[in-house]
Amino acid sequence: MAKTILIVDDSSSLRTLVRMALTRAGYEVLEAGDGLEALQALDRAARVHLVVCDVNMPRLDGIGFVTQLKQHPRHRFVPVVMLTTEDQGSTRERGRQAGAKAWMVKPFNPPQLLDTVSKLVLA
Amino acid sequence: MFDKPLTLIHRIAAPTAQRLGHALLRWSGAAPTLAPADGADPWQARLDEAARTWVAHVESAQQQLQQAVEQVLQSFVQILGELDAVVGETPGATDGADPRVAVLASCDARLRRLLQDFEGIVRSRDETLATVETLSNVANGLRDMAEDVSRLARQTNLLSINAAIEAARAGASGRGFAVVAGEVRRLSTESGETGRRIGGQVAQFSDTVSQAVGQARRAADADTRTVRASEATVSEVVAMVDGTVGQLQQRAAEQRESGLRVKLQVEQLIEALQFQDRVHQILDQLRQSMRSASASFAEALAQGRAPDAERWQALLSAGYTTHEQRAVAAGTGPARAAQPASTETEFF
Repeated sequence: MAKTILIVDDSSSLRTLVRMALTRAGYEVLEAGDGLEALQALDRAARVHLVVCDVNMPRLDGIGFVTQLKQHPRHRFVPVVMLTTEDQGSTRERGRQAGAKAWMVKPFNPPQLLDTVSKLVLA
Repeated sequence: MFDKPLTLIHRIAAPTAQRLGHALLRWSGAAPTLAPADGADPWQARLDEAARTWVAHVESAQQQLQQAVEQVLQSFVQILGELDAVVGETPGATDGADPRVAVLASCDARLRRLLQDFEGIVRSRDETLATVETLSNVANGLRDMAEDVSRLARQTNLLSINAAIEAARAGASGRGFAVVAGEVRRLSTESGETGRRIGGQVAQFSDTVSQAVGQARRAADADTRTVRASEATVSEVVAMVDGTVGQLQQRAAEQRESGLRVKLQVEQLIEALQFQDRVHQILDQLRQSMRSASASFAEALAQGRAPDAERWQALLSAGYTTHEQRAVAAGTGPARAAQPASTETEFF
């Protein structure tokens, strides 16, 4: 059965790029335009095996989303890969402290993203 | 990869910064002469108007860029999907093979089986011919045996004649023996007749078998020539099919390689389209910066003094996310700020 990955990014074109890379590798994909949408998507989803999340987004940003995800009753153990233009060490540290498992800087290389996802996706 | 997008940002951002700088200079020079309260309103109104206009233009550029990139991206995704089907890299795809190759390969295999069938027919016919030739040998043996019967009958006849002569010499006492000798002679005569009839029949049978063997040999020779000719024809067809299959496979392989090259280029183009996301973030920061600068400027204008230089710089750089923004702000230029796609992941 295909594993489900939630993509959270306010850029629809970036979501399309990530979705394309993941679906071509056999994953099922859910999408959200910001942190709040992502939390709502998680409430609706039966099972999510990994989240790929941007940092700078309207309403609820990526760091805030990860912080809330780690308190979610059903999905708190879902690993999160941050995929962002942010390359500052201080922001990475905030992401790590919030509970993210990996940090990738855009523009991303699809094979590298797939390699990262395959290492972290829940069994 | 991002040279062009950054040039675009530079084109949008540079005049904007220049105008803002000119306004600042004009404001700096004019401020001491302004009446602090009454005179500030028109300046503030113009500045607000300029800021709103610039922000609106940036938003418009963002939207146009996003729509254009979305359309290009969707087209590329579609092209990539079709290329996947052509080069056979997605589950359920036709693995890129030309169906004609499979048909020709099947024909090739069936023709080869047909050749094997021909060889089987020749072997079977040779076996039948060998059996018939055995019959001919048996007929020759029977003819020899019929000859033996005739020879024995002749010898018996001579013996019976001698017995009859001896019985005549014996006179009355040999009369019974003469009767026996006569019977033996009659039997030998009949045996001789029977032997000749058998010999005739066997000779007739032998001739018939010889004719049959001759006909079978001629037929076999004709069959062999026909089979060899058929084999040659089939071999030629098989060779032609093999050649065509080979050409089709080579062409299919070339097309697949070509498809893979195009696919790689499309993937690189799709990857390069990520510039839109970076441009969007850079322009977002620019809009926020314009709003903040305008507000700060208005506040300073109302107070009749220039904004604090350090706070002003912090305000302009607030919200930087990319190293291009920092590079541009540091004056190292957008061209040197371009960077390739990331191939490293930091795991926590």
